[in-house]
Amino acid sequence: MRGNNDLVQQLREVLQDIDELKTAQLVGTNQIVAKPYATTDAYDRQFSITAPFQSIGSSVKAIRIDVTPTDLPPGNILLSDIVPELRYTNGVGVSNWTGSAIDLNTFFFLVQIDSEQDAQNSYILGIVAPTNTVMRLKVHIMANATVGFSLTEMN
Amino acid sequence: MQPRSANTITEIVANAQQKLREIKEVQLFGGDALNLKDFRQIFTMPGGITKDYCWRVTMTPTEPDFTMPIDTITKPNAPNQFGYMKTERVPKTDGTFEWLVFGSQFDFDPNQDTLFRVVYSGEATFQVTNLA
Repeated sequence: MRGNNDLVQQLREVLQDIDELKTAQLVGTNQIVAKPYATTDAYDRQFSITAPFQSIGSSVKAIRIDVTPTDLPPGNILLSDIVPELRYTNGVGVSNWTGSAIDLNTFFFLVQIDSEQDAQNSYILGIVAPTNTVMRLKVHIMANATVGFSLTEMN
Repeated sequence: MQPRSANTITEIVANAQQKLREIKEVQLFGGDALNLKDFRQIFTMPGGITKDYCWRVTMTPTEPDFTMPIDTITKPNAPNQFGYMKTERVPKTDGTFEWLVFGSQFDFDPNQDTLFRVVYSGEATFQVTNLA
């Protein structure tokens, strides 16, 4: 016949299992929740590319993107995955790939930089294009918290 | 009120234990640490040919609410290789994640291998398509 101690032991094991599941993890409280974020605007910034680059007629633009959480518990790490969507003013998308070759005149890159602040991720979006090209940027973010972002034109 | 029999209580506790074990086994993230996964693909640009190459890598989450790329690494797949391919994120609105992996090869170059690696949380499948 099962004794009372057996039941207590079993319940303790159940509680231990629950505690292990609820133990504070490296990210988030219980698990990562991937939250997509984008503004409701058609685009977040329109800009001209005018700063001289390596050759006459070619210019460069650098935009800093700072992603900041609004509800991340203190001590947690912000994980964010951002996708810059670049379009010309006529709506055509900008890509490094023309469809058959690498575009050598217009290209862009994204690098993550040290934000120098806890719970903030920062990126530099660099764009090279013919001088006076006008583009529109929309930022898409997936993060482990509700986030917002700010844009700073570096040149 | 009729008291529960000992066997009933034992059964309830056993069921609870079983469910907890199942949760711990199938959960995407462990009890103490984050369980990340990675996807690796080596892209080769053959030597002796001048050509631009491009591949599309699509990541489709099977657990959309808990899946996201954490980091992407692109690097030469050999220690003495200088050139390697670059990547571009492609905006998507269907819940998938997409990268273009592209590079130029020249006829005087040897083979160039690029390791493309995505570290991600959650569950996802990957598809690689050669575009050029």
